[in-house]
Amino acid sequence: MTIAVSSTEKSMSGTADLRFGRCKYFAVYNTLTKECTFVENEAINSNQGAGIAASQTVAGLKAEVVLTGNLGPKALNVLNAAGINGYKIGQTTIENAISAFQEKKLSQITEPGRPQK
Amino acid sequence: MQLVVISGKGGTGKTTIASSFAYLSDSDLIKIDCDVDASNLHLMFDGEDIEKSDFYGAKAAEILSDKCINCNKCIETCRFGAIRFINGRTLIEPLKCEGCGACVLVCEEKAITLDHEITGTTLITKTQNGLISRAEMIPGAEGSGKLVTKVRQNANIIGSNKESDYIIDGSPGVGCAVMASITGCDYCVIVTEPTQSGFEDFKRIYELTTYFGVKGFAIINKYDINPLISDQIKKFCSDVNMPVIGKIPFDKLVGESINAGCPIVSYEQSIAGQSIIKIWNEFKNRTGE
Amino acid sequence: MEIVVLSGKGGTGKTTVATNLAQVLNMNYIDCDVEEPNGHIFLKPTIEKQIDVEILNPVIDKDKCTLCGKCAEACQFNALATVPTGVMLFKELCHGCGACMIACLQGAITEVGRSIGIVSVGNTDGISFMSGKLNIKEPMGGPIISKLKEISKFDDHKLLDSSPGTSCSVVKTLDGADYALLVTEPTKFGLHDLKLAVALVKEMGISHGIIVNRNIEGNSMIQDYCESENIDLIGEIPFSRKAAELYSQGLLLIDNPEYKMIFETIGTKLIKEASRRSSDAISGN
Repeated sequence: MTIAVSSTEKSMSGTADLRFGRCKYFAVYNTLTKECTFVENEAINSNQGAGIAASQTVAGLKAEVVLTGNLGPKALNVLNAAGINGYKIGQTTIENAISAFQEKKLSQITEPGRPQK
Repeated sequence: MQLVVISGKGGTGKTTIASSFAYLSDSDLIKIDCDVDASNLHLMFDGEDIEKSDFYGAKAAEILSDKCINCNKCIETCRFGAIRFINGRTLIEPLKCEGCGACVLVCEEKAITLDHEITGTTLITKTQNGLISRAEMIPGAEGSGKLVTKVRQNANIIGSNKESDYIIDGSPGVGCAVMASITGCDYCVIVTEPTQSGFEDFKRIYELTTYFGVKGFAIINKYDINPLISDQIKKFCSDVNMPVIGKIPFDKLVGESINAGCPIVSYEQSIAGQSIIKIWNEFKNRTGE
Repeated sequence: MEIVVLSGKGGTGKTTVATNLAQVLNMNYIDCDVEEPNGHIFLKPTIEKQIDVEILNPVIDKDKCTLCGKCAEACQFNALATVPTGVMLFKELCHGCGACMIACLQGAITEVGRSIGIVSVGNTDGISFMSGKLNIKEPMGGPIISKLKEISKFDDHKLLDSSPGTSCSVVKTLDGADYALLVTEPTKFGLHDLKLAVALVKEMGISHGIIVNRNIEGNSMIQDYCESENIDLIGEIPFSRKAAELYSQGLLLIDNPEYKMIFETIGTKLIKEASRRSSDAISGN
């Protein structure tokens, strides 16, 4: 399974970004190979609809799961349509977010959240 | 807590109220001026710009004249009338270009580029009453909504270490910049005035805030200019269940305070200032903030 | 003669100036402040027709679509997303530019109009009246302003009432104008925002002059600015509570004889300066 985590840095020990549409990178983790690659989120510079473009990016990366702080209504809409589930994380590192997900400690994001303060 | 001060109609007293609230609260409160094409909040506080960065806003197309063969395809494609053939050259008028890239797609000569352009400057201003996140948009630039979002993000960066409170001075209207200012706020204060224009615009901005699910409060500024319309506004508010948290009398000192660059609440003898102090306390009581 | 009334700062009196001047000069009035149009309150026009303003949104033919993703990639506004079940459109983000249609190699995209607001056309006291209104929750008023300009293009004697600020809506209103009349008030805010508006009209190469509204004796900050920048001072409207009260009731100030004289003086000077400046511009002086 492929997991995408919104990230502020290009490192497994780096801090996760609680914003989805305007996060800096996506950490893309493959649970079989245990490999993690980092992809720049081009949507960060979007004038509008960053959540939509970011959703498109993670769908293109074949992610099945997204770990992030919040999902806006449009992003949630696109992810749902692409069959990708979002799970909520708090202030944490990329590796801790992934283990928390694997240990089934995260709850699924089913309602659009408000933009991160 | 995030509070946005908006009005629909311009010039009803947003900045007078926002600067007063900022003055009355402790200096930890972060001030955000989202009126990016006419930012005034910083004029009410002595301050110094401690951070300044270029802001790359909307994209704009540009024609590489050495590759362009003046085939006219882009001119026919552009729906915004931004491309013209002048003096033997095909040119893009940057102020009219929306950055959609349709021209790039039809250009077979690959003579058009599409890049982010600098559309403003974002600033952090340090004042005696704390920090202001603000921006100066280049007059005529596209994409003020994005700049508003950026100004709010900059404020969040300043405030990320602790659970900070934010007050946002919004812009007039109901369009993209206003929507970008309201989204994600906990509370909005709508400043209106008892004029037919003010009331009509109030109804439109009220309708907009309901879409964002933001808890709203109304303030009637210069209420004694037309007590009859003030009553109509109060009636409307009570019908839609929006609390009116105060009325401010017409006070000539307000203009003077703006020119002196001091929030009106710092004038002890000002009747408008006294009302705003009451309103701020009322706001805090009602929200528990 | 096409004159645009603008201000930088909101609430300085654009609509007051534009509506009163339209009446004294017998010029057609066009309200381009589509987010908060108020001219009708003062001019009380009889509306003859209303026109829906539409922007074109893409419609994707599912049978032809191969989910190649080119349309979403072409869209600079992120209004489209390609997902395994089809292409999703977020219509309020769409600028109606047509880029997706160009990008689609399958010919799977056609367009359909979507209403974002309305234009009202009518008349009042011998002048024609036009105004645009953006639907609530729609972010972009630009197409409505373009529509107003399109249907009034054969009108050669008109006053356009702009929205506040210096953003793209103001640019659209100013496009093609002969003269810009900047309305301000003698406060720090008024002056600060006036300078931005002046920068915009200069950038666009439009001749301009200034009106000081709520003018106070002894406060000459705007007059001083006009002098130092060599900008025509077209007129001054004195500060008075009476004017504020008339305005609040939705009445034209020219209903009052004292104000009628003020606006007539301003109107005469405006036409003189605007004609002089625009003929200068034509002859290249």
